[in-house]
Amino acid sequence: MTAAALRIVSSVYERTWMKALRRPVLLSFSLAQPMIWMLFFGFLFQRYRVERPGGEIRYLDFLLPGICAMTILFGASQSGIELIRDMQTHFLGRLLNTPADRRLLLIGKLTADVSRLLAQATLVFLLGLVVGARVSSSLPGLALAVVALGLFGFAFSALSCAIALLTRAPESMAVFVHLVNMPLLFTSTAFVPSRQMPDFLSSVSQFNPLTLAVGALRGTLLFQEIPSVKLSLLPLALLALVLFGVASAALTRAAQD
Amino acid sequence: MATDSSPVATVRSLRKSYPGGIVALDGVDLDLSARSITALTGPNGSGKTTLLRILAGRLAPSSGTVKVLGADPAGDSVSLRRRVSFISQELALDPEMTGAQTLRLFAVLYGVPHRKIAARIDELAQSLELKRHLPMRVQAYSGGLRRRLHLALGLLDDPELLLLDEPTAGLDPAGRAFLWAFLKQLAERSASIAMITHDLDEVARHCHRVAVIGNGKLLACASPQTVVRDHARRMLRVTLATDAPLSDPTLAHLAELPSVKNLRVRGPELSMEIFDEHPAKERILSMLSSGNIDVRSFQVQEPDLASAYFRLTGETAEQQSRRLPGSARGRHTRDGEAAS
Repeated sequence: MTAAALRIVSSVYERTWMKALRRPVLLSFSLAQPMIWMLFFGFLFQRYRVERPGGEIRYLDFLLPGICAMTILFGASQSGIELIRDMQTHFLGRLLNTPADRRLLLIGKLTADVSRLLAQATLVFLLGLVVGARVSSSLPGLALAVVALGLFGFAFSALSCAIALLTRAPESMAVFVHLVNMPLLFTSTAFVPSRQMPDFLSSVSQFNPLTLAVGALRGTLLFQEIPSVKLSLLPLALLALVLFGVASAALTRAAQD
Repeated sequence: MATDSSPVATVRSLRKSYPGGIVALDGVDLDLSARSITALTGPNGSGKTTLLRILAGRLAPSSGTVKVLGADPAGDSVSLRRRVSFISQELALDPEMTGAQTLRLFAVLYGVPHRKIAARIDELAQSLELKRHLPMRVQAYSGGLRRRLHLALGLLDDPELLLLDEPTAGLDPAGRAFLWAFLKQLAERSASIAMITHDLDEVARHCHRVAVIGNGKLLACASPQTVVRDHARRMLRVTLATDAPLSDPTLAHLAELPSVKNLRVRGPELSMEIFDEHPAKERILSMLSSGNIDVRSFQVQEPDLASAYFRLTGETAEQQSRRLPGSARGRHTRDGEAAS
């Protein structure tokens, strides 16, 4: 990437963060929601024991990586809202009609969103420790798990942006939550291990990208495993690439309108 | 003002239709000269914005050819986006950013070299009188300041062609004067400007060419002086002392006078084009007085761009409007019976 391209990415990155910080209500809501889920689910199911070969895991310990990944998923679904606002003020059209490569504009926005999502997930993780979750990890394992979460966040932020650009309606973001987030959440291993799911759901969960992100974090936090590049990171990277392509195409289409 | 003769944009047989059979542009041929200001004017919905958006590459034509700086704007090339700046009528600004943040962001996006960004912003802010407002958020700007910032964004990379959609809309007289002076300076320096405007007095004063568009067709395109010479007529306006309508035979008689054309009646006011001022005026007044019709006032209006505009666009509108029956068909119209 050239210095000029980097400057474009960093300028859009800076603006995206500035806009996020000017909306503390939205920021705190997308943070409060997973915290509430963690507290309710964590205490509601505190007697629920997660089976594993050679023992059991406390539910709160099991839940914490799931809630961290859920924070990323729910936060990512809000990414498109800012684009809708920019469309309403005609600012997006203005940005898109500069000579800047539109993919760089999207990279700047998505990397800012991902860094915000990871910061929110970190806060949720620290709260989990405060309420009693016990985890331990190696640094390389944790670093690769963060990469997995980042790729997952990048992919779903791109999807949210694509939906926003195609529908141009703030209401579409609520539909996104119901049609994408909820099914994705409840067909993943975020709350329940696959071996304790009904068979068909267990099969479905193996193909769920949220399961890959949760699995990478859970593996390293509970079992000190290093996330698999081939089985976790590569599929998530491919998904991120495909959804980035979809969002780029939607952005180019928006520039013509 | 002298202008370069080579066109920066050429439009040939341009047609644009929208779904539903609406024809926005119908066979338009137009050249935009280098280092000049061309005004695009015409009634609302006549196709001006469509033409500007096609020139900017924001809209694809249905047929015809368009070349802007030698390239097809529909190709959406990065090079054209750098050389052509389209400044829409809508103020495309982020109210939460400051003026300085907005200019810096766009300077980067337009590829202004890093070391020149501060100087370029300073220069533009100086010439558009924005400097002391730059630290403020855009939401605190007045309408005029917002329009200046909106314009400044399009000038960051010194575009060769500037396409402006009603840049003076919403500005007070001082703001308009400032903007016209600024645009003239730009054109004198290097830029070619095509702008939509309804400000005909300013067009006559500042623009090198004016293109009048009506119902998707180019009705005239020349210097304002040529358009006035070819299309404007001297107008006589007569206000009657009575509100009672003139009889149809009187109107027909008036309309048939050899030096009168396009007689319009609007309540007690008559307006008509006249070809020879004194004989026409005398004939009309003596005709009215012989019919015992008192005249409160009369006024002769010299040919100007506004009268050329109304004549050009009115002719087009009249084709669609209902004409009066009887012997005076097509020669005179009553209030509401002919569109202008």
